[in-house]
Amino acid sequence: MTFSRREFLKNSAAAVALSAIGGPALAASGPQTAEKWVKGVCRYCGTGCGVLVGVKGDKAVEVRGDPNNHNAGLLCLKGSLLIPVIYAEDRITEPLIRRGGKKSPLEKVTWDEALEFAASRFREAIKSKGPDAVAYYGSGQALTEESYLANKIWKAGFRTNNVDGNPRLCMASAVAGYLTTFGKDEPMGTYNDFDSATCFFIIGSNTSEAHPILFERIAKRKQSSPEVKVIVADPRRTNTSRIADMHIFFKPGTDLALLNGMAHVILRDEMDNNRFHQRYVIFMDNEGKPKTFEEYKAFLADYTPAKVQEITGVPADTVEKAAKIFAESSASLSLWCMGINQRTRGVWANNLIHNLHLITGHIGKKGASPLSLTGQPNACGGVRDTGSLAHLLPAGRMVANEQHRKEMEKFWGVPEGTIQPKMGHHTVALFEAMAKGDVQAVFIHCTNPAHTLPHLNKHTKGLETAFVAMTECFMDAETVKYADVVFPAAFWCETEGVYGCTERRYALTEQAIKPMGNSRPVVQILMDFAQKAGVDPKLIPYKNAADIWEEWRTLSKGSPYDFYGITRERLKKASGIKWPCPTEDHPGTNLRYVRGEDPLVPKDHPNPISFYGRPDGKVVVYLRPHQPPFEPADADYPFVLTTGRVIDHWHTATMTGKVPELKKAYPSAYVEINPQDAAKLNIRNGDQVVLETKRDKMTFPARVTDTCMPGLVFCPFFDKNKLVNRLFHDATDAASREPEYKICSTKVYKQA
Amino acid sequence: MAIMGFLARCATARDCPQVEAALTAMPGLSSYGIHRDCYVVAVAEAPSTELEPLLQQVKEIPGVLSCLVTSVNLEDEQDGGGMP
Repeated sequence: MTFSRREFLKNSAAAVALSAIGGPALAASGPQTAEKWVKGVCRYCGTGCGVLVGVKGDKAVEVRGDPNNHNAGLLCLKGSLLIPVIYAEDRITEPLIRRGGKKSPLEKVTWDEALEFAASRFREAIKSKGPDAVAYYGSGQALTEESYLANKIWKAGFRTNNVDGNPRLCMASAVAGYLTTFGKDEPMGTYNDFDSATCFFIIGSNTSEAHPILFERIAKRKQSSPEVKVIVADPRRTNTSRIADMHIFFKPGTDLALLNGMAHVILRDEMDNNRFHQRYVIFMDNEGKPKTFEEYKAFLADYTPAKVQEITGVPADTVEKAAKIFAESSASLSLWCMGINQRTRGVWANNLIHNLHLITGHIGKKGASPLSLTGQPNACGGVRDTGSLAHLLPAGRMVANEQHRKEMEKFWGVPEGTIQPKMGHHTVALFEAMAKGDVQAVFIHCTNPAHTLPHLNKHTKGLETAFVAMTECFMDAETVKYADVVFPAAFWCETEGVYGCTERRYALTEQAIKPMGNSRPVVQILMDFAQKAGVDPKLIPYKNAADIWEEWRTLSKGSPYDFYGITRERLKKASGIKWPCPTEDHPGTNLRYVRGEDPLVPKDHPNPISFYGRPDGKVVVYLRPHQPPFEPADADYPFVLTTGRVIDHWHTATMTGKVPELKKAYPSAYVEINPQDAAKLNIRNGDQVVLETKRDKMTFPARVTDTCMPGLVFCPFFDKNKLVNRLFHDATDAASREPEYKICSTKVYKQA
Repeated sequence: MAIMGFLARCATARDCPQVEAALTAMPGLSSYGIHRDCYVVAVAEAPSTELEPLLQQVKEIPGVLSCLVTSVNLEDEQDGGGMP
């Protein structure tokens, strides 16, 4: 029997699909449609799906799901269509500079000239105004080695803590939530919990569109186990609700009341786990003052289901039912994302989700965990763990802590006092400082702030004013318009480095093909730039990314983030390893803080769980009251505007916008409006609708749909031709400094 | 033409045969069988610009819960037409 070549390719595709659902694992060893297969991690969301890149000659020709990673060979359409992004026509392949200021054209120059052009401006800024006149603005998409290196260059080399990045815009509230409740960042559970949970409580997450492979795992769990219940709480009825037993529509900005209401019902009906919280939990108010369990109960007296109904619009019996399902399930798993984090009380909302787990004891056992979902592929491993934010240092250390600074100075071999005690500018403050001239030069890596910052009309002034050096792969990124220097960066599988995803899994993307044109790996760009800018060469003694990983791995040893056992060699063989992993023979950890599971908990520890993140070994249930959002709807601006993702685009669409089939599915942004509201405003599908806020007004085509509850309108944010963040305020969470992208008030009317 | 391997997850085992029948009636789609965990194993052969709408159509087949892509080969499109 003979096959044509195309039949062979089709059979191969079928074999790979079959292997993803328990057939023979064929992804790399079966029918060979490529000359070699190179292991990596998907470039998009924080799920961290494993991929295999097929290479023929010097070209990448195919992407398959890695059957040995947590995604078991499955990918979403975005991930499987990464090849056209590599070969996009507008890849930047040569260094570019603007010689005559922001309005002059970008010109091709040599690497030396571009690097010197940028470095000289950084030297001048430091000379005239000191180290805090320069900054680094990074990304949860940067490789771990890149973020670690940049953090070291800026904090120990330039001596400024002006190191921040786009994780500030998406998961800073989750970080602060974990830190305040557990004492250390990062979750205790993993995706394995999806296979044991009997209640999924999904709040503020459109998992179906933002994390499709995780949604599939939830759907599979529900399908195979009828006892599994799914509760979705969201002011939008998204595709995620298709598998929900209960959808809770709550008024935008009332999540705190809903969560306290559920806690009220749990305690009132004695569905709490008294033995658990007596042993492991302490109670605190907003000022950090200790409170008793009785005081916590008294605090919750204000959140009866009837009162919660008044605040949230959720029927009282729905609050009762949700609390009962959550508490009485054998294992409850909470999942949340930007709907919770991008709020002016995002940290509190995170704390209140943790509260539900801590009062019921749904934690520290299979299937039971609060697990915040991550938006970017390496925000966890790259930015959070390496401490590449303005207030952090590597491996859970804090800038404000003198002992932590001394530890880092010793490790990095710099004199005591090198690392500044003052925190750097968080993102919103950084762009304000740039606009004022306080920060004169910024290095932007792997992110597109001219598209993603809140209150864009205000904050692009920072980009107009400061000297901007940036790495970028694609010419159509909005921020390129403001760049003084553009360094062409190797894209994804053109270089190698580690990504750390939501579940504490570190996985290596290996180099599959050469960087395009004259582009270079970013670790090389950063080292060359730093040397020219005057950073002591002893601080950057690396030959390549593997050397940086070796240093970072060593630094983690003995810390609560210990991954010393995750060597480069192990990463090359395995499809990811979950930390803590202190030794090279340790397989990685699924249940953090649990005796017998977490290697950082002594085997003879007297308690089955040791919350070692806090000195007292306890975790905190906080008494956090309901507070309204920064800008609720009012008589003048009677609607709430919210933003988010769609399944076929990712972030600012600089990648997905290159893929014709994805672009065709969502060519441009639109506004979703509820049919009741549309009828009142005489708006029909396709009508041009004006959204007018206190900042700006913009026009979008209408999609009349019951996805949004009445009073709410939604716009996706991917479209560079409709920069919806122009409409938003820039109010931030008081603790995490994450902006409230999820809620602003707006007028809605049909264009005349 | 691109070649895409994917899985159509069916709501129940009873839905699988009708999903498979509907799927194979669509141009460019082939079934490679029904898996016991309620999946139809399928391959699409189409211009890459048509893959997304094609998946949308599959999702709209009654009984389909979701579609999961497992591989996309674009070699022939990159080569400018491909070989037989």
